[in-house]
Amino acid sequence: MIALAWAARLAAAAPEADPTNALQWFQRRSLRTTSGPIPDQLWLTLWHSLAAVAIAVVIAVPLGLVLAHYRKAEALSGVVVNLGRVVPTTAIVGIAVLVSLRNGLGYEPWPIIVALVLLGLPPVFANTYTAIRGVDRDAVDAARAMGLTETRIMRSIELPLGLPVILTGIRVALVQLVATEAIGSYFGGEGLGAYIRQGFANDSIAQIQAGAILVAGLATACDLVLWLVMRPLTRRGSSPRARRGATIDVQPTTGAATT
Amino acid sequence: MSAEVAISLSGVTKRYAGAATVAVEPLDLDVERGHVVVLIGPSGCGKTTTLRMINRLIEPTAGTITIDGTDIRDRPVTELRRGIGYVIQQVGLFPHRTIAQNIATVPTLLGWDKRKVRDRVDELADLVGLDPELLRRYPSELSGGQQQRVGVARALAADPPVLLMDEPFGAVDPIVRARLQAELLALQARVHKTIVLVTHDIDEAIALGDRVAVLNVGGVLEQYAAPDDLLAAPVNDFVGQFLGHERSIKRLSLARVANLALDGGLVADVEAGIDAARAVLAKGHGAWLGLIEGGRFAGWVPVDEVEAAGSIAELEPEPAAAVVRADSTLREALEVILTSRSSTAVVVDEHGTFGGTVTLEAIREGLTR
Repeated sequence: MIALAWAARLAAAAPEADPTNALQWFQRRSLRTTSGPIPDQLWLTLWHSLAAVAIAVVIAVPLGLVLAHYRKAEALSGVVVNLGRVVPTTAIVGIAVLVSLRNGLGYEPWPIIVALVLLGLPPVFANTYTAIRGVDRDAVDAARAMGLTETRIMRSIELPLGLPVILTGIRVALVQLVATEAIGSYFGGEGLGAYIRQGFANDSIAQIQAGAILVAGLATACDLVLWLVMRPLTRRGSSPRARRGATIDVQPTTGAATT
Repeated sequence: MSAEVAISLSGVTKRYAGAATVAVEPLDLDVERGHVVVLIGPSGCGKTTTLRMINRLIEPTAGTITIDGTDIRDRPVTELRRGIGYVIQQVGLFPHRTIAQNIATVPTLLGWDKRKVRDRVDELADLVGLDPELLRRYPSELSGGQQQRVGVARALAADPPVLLMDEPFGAVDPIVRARLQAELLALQARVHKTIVLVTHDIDEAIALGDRVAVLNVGGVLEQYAAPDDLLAAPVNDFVGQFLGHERSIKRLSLARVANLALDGGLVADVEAGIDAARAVLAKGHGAWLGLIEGGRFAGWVPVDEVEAAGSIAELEPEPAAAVVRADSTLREALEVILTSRSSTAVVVDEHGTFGGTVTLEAIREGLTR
């Protein structure tokens, strides 16, 4: 039924712009000149998210690896998982914008990246911690007994064995960050959120819809691409037991453009 | 006791902070080079703790452990561990590495060149009876018994003089366990390592140990003796109970026919004639007379037929069913004696030459020696 309605609308293809038709918005460049070309905004959102996830990985993976290896911060790791759900990203961007402006760094990209890094740290850390904790104790024990140094145990035993779970954490984090990046636009940033912001400003339901679809699409695409890229890495050699290893799979918040 | 001491524990104590009891009381134990020493005891007796103190996976609270006369704390811990093979029940293979890579762990750490490592891996696969085909596989693709063989190969990789084994065959089924135990003994006969092995299975301790250390809760050494001495003379009730029932039956597995004072028994040489045969019968009691012909055991003849016969040539000996070798265990000898009508096992060597007879009486005397 919906498809039929869509087809009827397309057939009518009125020269008048319909403010509720997202498809029309995609088709007519003239309707969206206010927020720049779609590929540019896609790229902005993507690189903000990728940069933030990269920073989060650089911080959280070594930290989680070392803390889990030495069985430190057991309580902290539990808290961190839930922390991910209470990080007030909107408030952080707001504060970050003020700090950024004060230091002459402008509205973007730093405020949104800082906020996204904070949002990305918990899932990456939690998964790394869980992954390393879940590595077969006997393998680590045997490695130590054979004279591997602690650094070497972390690098060549725990890290590779925990990799599937760590990669899952990174994937989950990236999806979450892409979906959340849109809020940066409310604080003077650019990116896919700009369409939503402009949509609200111009009362264009179509543009709000289109922005949301783009955000959700990009998040889903990232999820899919990372899944495809990581799959061979997590297959080879790892035992069924390691593959089934405990995973904190924080539900992806795809389409949460209005978070 | 002329052999030199390879591993020596003196006053070794382990006390965990906050624990009411001591994990290991001051323990003194010497392990001779090339010997298999088994640590056995109930759970909580500190046998695994003691083992893990030897390669410093656990640091003793007090006391000294020396290997070849040097304090184990005098060397960097990683270097010490690379010189000590370690095998655990759960094997602990690296699931992301191939079998070959697993075996090559220590040689790689020691920086051997690739060719030497590869040759060594092949050699070890052969030594522990591992199909070379398996070397390219991953641990999860192997059976429990195969994995344990890989564990042993990995521990032996850099040819360490000392091997520590923590319930190495505890996770495999009894049939595989028995085979792996036999293989370990055969392996040990070739490599002559100094082995310290922990188990809770008294039969395994008896089968594998040159000496067995029976530990009580808290790491108290109750008795340290060769398995046969342990079974023959447990020092107290604890050791006696731990050894369990059927201690004499267990001893039968340890002693060999060659250990017995073999006598001829009721056996006569065909050449000696019928009167000599009757003279043999007059010296002992029995329903059967054994005949020797040309150094070989010809067979058994019922006593009444010997009495009735005019000459030895008339007799038709029945071939012996109960035959053992000098290296057969007394348990095997007992088994054939119980199923033989003459109640006597005949000892022959590999050429079939007669070496004497074994009776129930001889076995009993052998155990009370």
